[in-house]
Amino acid sequence: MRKYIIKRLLWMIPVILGVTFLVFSILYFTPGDPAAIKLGADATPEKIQELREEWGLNDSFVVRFGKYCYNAFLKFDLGKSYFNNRSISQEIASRYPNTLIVAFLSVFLALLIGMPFGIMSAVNQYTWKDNVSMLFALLGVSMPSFWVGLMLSLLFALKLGWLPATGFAGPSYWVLPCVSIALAGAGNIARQTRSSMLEVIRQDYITTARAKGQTEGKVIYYHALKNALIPVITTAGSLLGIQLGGAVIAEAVFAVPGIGTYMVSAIKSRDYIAVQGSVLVIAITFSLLMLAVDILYAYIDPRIKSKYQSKKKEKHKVNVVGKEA
Amino acid sequence: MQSNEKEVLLSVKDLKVIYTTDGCMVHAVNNVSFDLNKGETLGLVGETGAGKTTIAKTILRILPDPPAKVLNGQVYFEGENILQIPEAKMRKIRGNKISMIFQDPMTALNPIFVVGDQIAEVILLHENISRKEAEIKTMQILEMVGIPGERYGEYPHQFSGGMKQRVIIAMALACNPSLLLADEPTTALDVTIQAQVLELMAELKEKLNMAMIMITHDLGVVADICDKVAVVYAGEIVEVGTKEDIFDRTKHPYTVGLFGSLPSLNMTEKRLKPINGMMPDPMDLPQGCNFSPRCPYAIDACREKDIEFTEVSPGHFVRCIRAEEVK
Repeated sequence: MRKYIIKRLLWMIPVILGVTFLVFSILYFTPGDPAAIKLGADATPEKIQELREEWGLNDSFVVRFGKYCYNAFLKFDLGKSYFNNRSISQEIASRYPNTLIVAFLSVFLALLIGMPFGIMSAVNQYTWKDNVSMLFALLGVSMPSFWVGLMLSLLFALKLGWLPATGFAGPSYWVLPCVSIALAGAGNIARQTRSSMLEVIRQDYITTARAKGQTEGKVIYYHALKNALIPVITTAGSLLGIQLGGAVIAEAVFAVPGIGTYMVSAIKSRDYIAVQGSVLVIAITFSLLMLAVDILYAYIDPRIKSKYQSKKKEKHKVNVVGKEA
Repeated sequence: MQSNEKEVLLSVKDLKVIYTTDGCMVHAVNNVSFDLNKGETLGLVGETGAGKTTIAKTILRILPDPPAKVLNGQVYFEGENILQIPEAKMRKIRGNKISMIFQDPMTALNPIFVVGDQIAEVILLHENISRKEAEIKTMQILEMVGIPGERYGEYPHQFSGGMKQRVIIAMALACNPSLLLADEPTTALDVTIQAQVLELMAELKEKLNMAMIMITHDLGVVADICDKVAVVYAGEIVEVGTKEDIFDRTKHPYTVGLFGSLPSLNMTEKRLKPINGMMPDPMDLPQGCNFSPRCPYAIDACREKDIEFTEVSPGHFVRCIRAEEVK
């Protein structure tokens, strides 16, 4: 297993270099001279030349790419913003935790709401419980989260005054953005849980578990749920990925100072080097996240784990299930 | 039905089970009755879809409801109608006094738990012992079915098909049940493994003195290990008797047809003699005898009303009005 993780981590190197190369090239070929934009319309060509020289914009593509990679990966320095000359690494470091908080909390919340509903739906297929919870799931999926966000802040911030509408100064500020993202996610997860649970509870081994005299609750939550988790984890993982990279709208609605708002303002002011840095950080997070999801698969399903393991026989822990478990 | 000085363990009376799908009624089991004594083996023989598995699952009360529904009938187990008792009490019987072996060992084990834990689960559910003791007992049971106890901690995918079926047998026998329902335990296995598994089952049955219902469409299996045989056709028992009654003194045209479609070593014909036609649609069973549309002996009287059981010799019942003429 450890070997597999190391292998996967090594594989991240070409992936990240590839992403860097792509983003760098796209921005390299994008028309518009950052130096000219920075200095404004009335700058003399000499001044612009001077600034270009200072920022290293006159070097060849290869030299610039090499320098960028060297600084980014060995010194963790993503350069200085063209716009306000601040260190991009520091900007991201101060903003990214906010994005992480929103992303993890909202996905956690989505799982917390979505999974019980999905399980309930599957166990009571075609009954009113199923219909009602699937109706809510459909509503959740169909409502755009920025709209939900606006409605929630209208109600809880404006009308009732219980929660702050914008900013990110403490836990009470987290509630609205997290809930508005979680509602859509919960719908998604409920639907995914339902369909994968339905598939699992028709399997023979569930009948076997019932034939053993196991209680229905144990059959569902112990025997079935763990088998049904993999598609749910995939959904939750990609949800988390989306939130980490592009919670732009939610961040904009609630004015959360996260990486999404940073990237949007960087794009608006053509601060290409800041965009580049943000994309790079998001790409790395995404790869790490996917690795975590894959490891989680192996942890849940021994068949997947055995594919990763070397031929060496591993001594399994003897662990009895049943009464107290 | 059978007057025997032996003690009756299981008695099924007038069992009727239907499945409802999209408003249609599928008559899966129709008025099935039979008795099973302690330590006896009954073979339930019939084609695919005849309702054999449904009978077994009804006894264990693990039919999915909906779509399945027990319309009427009683199942007496140790003198108690187990179709009426509360679910909590039934759970104490499942896996403990009555257990079941399923058809496909490939899918009957939970792929994400080690096999030992899956067996220990039954023991812990029904016996008041500690985990450690359950583990030890599990290893003993594994040894009993011919699997080294050290394989306790392995996952189902690390076992072959025959080994998995042994694990399932171990699981079923873990609490010394008095009745074992074996639902085509050898169908999914290849022939050499089939023989091994059957031998193991016969041996363990003898050792633990349990009764068994062997569901199969393989008459060879029946000849091997059953004492009594019930032939099921379209959800109905058409003939029931001792193994000798059924094999040597066949009375029902369907049973005759079943033997006719069996290849034999000293056969001179080049082709098998299949029964003409198809099983009737269980949503739309024919009037009178269910077998009449395919029966070479059918007369008008067969199609008029349901045929009653007649006792042709002690303990040998046939659902056919022309049984005496059948050869």
